[in-house]
Amino acid sequence: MTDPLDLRLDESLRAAFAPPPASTFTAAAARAVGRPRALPRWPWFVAAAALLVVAVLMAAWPRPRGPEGHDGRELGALWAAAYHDAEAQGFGVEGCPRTGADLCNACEKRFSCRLAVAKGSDLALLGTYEGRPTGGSMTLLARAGGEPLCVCVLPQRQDPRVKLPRDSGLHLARRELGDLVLYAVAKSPARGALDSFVVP
Amino acid sequence: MPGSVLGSDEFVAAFTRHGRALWVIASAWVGRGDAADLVQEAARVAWERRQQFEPGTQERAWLAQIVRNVGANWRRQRRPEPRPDEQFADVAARAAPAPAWPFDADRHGLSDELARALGALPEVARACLLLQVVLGHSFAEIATMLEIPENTASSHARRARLQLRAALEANEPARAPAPETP
Repeated sequence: MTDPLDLRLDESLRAAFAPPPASTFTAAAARAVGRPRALPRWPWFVAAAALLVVAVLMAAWPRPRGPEGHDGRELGALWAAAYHDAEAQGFGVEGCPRTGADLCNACEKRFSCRLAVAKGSDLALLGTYEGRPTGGSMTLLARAGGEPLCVCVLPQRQDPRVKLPRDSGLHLARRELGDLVLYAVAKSPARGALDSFVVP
Repeated sequence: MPGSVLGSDEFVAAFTRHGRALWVIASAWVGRGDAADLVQEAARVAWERRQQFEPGTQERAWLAQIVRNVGANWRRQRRPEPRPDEQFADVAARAAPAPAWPFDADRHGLSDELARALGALPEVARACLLLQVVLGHSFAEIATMLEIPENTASSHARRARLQLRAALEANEPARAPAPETP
């Protein structure tokens, strides 16, 4: 190539595009090799999306509510008020189920489930509570070891996991029995009282 | 190349061996000013994808392909954003041309006309010419690096040269007529 224009062109290009020394590329490759491999981001996105889905599901998941639509805290407040009311009335008998047979019939009629008090237990069934509203539960008045208590009965599918108000001064015990859930509301822990109930 | 995966020493050696060609290709794609950054990014990508390198194939062609791909992404990412008031902004964005090869910045002695003519060339043509002129590669080597047929590489370089010559000639001062001899 002897054309002076071509020579001038090549000279300009060689001058303008002279590559850096080889050490530049060695350094670039060494940096690439030495650089900790970037962690892929997708697992983080997947984890975040999964957490979001779980959070949304937890928020949106229909929680069981009581027979009249109360949540656990509302139902607990109703029961605590009922207990105090029953206590103020001297735990008087107001309803039908005084005997095991009455309880069995009343429960079957209301929840299509049978429930009875075991023979020989120290639980004395006094009757049903019919005073204040109890959120659709069947509320029984009883004494166990001389201590008065309310036994609230719910179908399992309508058990919103009841919680008593903190300032109620009452204790709550829970027992699942067949398709029913039994709660004992008393001034002292009364889990043992619930063991007196059986499915006949 | 021994082994099935490039080791770090082999990788550094290969990158050093072919760095000049990679840098020239990077210059053809994104301009001289960004070529070093592009080569560095290509090194990172190549090292991350070293499992994809097939032993027995040309490592220079493999690295050159990575430089070209990274360069193409580089240019795409620098595509100008459409104005917010522009109707059919997304269509406009897709249709917007990639930014021009940056001949204005850091010209390193190129005349404006020559730089502008270089900027007007397609990347492949620019790379063909630069690899031939600056590094003295044969068209067969260039063809392998750019994954084009050899005669295509040759014609790219020839046409590029003609365009640059035209730019230079247009800028030549008009030759004064030879003085008449008595």
